[in-house]
Amino acid sequence: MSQNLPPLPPADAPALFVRGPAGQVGPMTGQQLLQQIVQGALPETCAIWYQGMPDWIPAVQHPGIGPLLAQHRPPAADPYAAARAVDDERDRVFGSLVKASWDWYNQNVFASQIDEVLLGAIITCTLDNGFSLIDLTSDGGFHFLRFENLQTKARIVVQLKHLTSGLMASKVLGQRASVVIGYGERVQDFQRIWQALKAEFKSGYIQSPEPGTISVDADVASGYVYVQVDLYWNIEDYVKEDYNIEYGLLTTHIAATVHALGKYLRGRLG
Amino acid sequence: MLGLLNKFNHKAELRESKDEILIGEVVRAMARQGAIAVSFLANDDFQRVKFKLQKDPVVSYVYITLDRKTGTGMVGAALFGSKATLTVSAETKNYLSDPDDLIAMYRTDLANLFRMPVLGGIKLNHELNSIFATTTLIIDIDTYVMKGDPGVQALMGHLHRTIHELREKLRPYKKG
Repeated sequence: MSQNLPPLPPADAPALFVRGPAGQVGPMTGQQLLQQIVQGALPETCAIWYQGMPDWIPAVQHPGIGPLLAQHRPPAADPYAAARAVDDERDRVFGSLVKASWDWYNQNVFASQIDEVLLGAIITCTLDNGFSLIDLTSDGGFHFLRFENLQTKARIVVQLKHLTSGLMASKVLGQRASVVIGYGERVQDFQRIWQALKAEFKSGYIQSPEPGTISVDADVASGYVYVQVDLYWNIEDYVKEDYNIEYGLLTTHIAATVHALGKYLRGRLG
Repeated sequence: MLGLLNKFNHKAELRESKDEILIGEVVRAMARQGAIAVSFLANDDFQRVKFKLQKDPVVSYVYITLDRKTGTGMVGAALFGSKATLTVSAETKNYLSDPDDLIAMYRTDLANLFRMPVLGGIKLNHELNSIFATTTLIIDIDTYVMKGDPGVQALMGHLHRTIHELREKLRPYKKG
């Protein structure tokens, strides 16, 4: 039938008559017809007629109008779109649960390893002050460090024990650590080592040293005499939650302690 | 006599401490580059330190393990030098939470399960939220310790190149 149709009138010529659900309308231009169908005012199946046509035919079947309608037709609805939207939404909710868990987990990790961050900071500060690390023992909870100035042979010993490991303990009590800092010097003559050993004997009776108590220790094999002091530190003074480290404060505190211990050692041994 | 003995003992102590001296320098040098030491596991001949890289776009953590294979004795050191294996691992984290990604990662986990590391080569290993690239080298500690700044610089240059290689291996797997 389309073979026998006369050509469409020009697009801007009001020549088309239309029969839709509301009855016959027109004449209208081809552009107006297309616009009304695209906007949903008329169905694609509305009948059209213009001068020269033998009969009315559905607009969508007209060879000059059908392809244009196809171009403007909205894409077919995805039958799985709703299911996919539900899937995406559930994945998003699951993702937010995992992310919230990571936030909590990272807080817990930080609370547990803050003492080890401090340990690394102590190493860095002490090496910056001319010492080398010569002993390192750590099981994750108790840490022992020994440093030596390879020129002067002076030594620094640090024992660090995290007292409030874990998120709950640290939130309630703060990040506390028991810290023992020692300072040692090589002593060549036997008389002075003997004096130190006598002092060590007395120190052996101190069961639980109070903060600031200075005890003496001697290592006869290597000829070192150490004095050491027990302290309690708040680790958060040195290590912040964003892993920033207060190196200046830490260096000052270690230097002051070592200075005091050195004075005590030299005064004690004469 | 006591002085002589002390001198001998002190020298022996320092010989035993070369690996600790090396690790100490690594900790300090990494800190200068913004890599914070966050975990230590250390005993006589074995030290492992985990570093957190705060600003690296790909690598979240680096693990440096120094394992002194020749022991600390005088005879062993004389025969073999101060040989140690230095294992460097880089970890990238993707914090997977999409079940579709989890399924994809599970398949690659299976593929990597039986892959063995090769000395000097780089092995990739997926572990759900993390992907590791690891390489192991044999080093002579004497090359780097008690050599002053040049020794430390040589060590850090070596580590820097190694971490760079590992980072490039991990880069294609880093999400977002």
